[in-house]
Amino acid sequence: MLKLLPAQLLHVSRQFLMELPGPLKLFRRRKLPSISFPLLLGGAIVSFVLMFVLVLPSFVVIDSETVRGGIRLAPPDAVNWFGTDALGRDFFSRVVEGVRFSVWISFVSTFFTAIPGILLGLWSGYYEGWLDHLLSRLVEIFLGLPALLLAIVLIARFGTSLHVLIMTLMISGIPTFYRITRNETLSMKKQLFVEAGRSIGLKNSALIFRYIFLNIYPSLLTLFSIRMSNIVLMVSGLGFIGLGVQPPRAELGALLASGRDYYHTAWWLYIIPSCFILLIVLGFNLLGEGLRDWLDRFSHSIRR
Amino acid sequence: MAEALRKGFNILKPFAGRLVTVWVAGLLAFMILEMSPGDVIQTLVGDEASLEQISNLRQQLDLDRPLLIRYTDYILNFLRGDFGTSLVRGRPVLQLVGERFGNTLLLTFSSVLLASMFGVVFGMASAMRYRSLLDTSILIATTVFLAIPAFSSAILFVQLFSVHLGWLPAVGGSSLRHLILPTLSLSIPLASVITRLVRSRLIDELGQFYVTTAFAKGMTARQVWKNHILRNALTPAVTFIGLQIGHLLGGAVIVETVFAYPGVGRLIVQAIFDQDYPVVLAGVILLTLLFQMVNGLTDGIQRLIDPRIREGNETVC
Repeated sequence: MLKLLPAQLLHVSRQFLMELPGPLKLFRRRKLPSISFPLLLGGAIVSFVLMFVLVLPSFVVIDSETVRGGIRLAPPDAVNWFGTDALGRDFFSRVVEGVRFSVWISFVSTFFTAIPGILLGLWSGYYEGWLDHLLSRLVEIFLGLPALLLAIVLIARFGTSLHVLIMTLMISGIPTFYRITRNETLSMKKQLFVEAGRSIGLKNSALIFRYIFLNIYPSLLTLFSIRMSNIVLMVSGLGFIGLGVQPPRAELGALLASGRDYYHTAWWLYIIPSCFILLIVLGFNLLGEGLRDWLDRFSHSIRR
Repeated sequence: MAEALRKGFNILKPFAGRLVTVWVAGLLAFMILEMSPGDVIQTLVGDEASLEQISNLRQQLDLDRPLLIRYTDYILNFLRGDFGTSLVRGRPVLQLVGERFGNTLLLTFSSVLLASMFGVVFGMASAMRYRSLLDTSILIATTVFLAIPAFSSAILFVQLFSVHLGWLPAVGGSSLRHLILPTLSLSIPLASVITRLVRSRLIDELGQFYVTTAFAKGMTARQVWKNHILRNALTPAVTFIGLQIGHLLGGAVIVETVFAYPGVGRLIVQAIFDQDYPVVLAGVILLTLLFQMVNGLTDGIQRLIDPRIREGNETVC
């Protein structure tokens, strides 16, 4: 505990209250820091990918199911932009569906990983106590189990369905979110402004969410973005070895795996899915790193 | 003597907690896999089996007894080195996994070694020429390499080195030549991660006052790097590399499958398709054990090189 005279305490708390990163004060002070190149590039790539899966399908016919025997393995042309696959299906449509699936599953599973992970982390970092000890030990054990192996055990038992995949990704992701949130909370709650907030009689919930969470969210946002790129890699890896979502659904890893056999006759079946996986992962990695730097400078520009 | 004992104890200490981790992981895997093993029997006997056949097989495979008793038996047998018998191949699991464990070990260690070598060299080069053309290009290259999925680069390597140039075999694992391509595709992302870590650690360290002091008192650049900077900067990197091996083992499952490399990862994947649970279980336990042992080893190494941790003032990183 800090030992301050009442007058000092008042001064300190007033000083820190002025500089609170409260939600309303976020956009009031100073101009925003300039956008760095990685952030710009990452944002551009991610918006391109989002446009590709969200906007483009409303202008172009997406038909990934129709099998046309006459045009098997046709190279890219004006009708089939990315050529056709071994069954004569339009490969462009299949790639769009694959990218859409990748982005969708990575967002959904990261979102539902982040919420319990962050809440548990905030709670256990703030209150500590025996449950915190227990959770930390448990998380340590989970982090000691390679994520893909955990996925494989669950998939081995429950089969390769979408639910299992999302559940697996959540189970393997919660420990990471929990640990980082907890560590950040632990170091943040020792800061003077939290002490000041408590001294003016704020409730714990206000301290946790307005004082602590709003100060640690940059690193959590970064973690979110990086986690999304990891999931894209993991899901496509599982799809590649046949343990991901099953064939009727187009998935980038599975597309790549089937394209491997036609490397010489139909290069586009291998190159295009590879490029899209690379693009998505690169985009989210850059966005995450760029955001971390930008938010870092952003919060500094508020505080000073 | 006492000093040596204390050193040895310090190296062994991290292993105890790790064994608990392996045990819990094994327990978890056992519970998930063996909770309701009805499907296994169905797969083994087919759809047209009579009830009698099913109950016979159930008895034969010991599946009619309560979960807890089977678990106790499994642990006791495990400690004796008996991992059960493969349901599909009819051979002892230990034999099956043992044949392949060495291969996975070899693949993992060669990848870590290669990646650490390149990672440290490029990271140092990048930090020494901070903000130069070299630094920027290394940064860009590592960013891109991190995003390339291992299986994608694996296919590229096979096409380039096996099909076009004919230098190296594409699949299999009978000789050391088979090791080169899987090692390469596993170590590229790892080397990128290590490069970035080493670079940022070194840049942090270069800004410290003690470095300025060391230069000011007339030490040569070589001495400062060797005695001060590298020693301080690379210690966290050792732990980090150990932690990365977990991802590597996961990646190994995929890369082994692509290259049909006879490792534990490929065995596990095949066993999943066959619903051969004893093999999956043993494979997962052994890979977790390997991961934890490597982490313990890196912790021990760190204790050896960093006196701050050796004295017990451990900081959480």
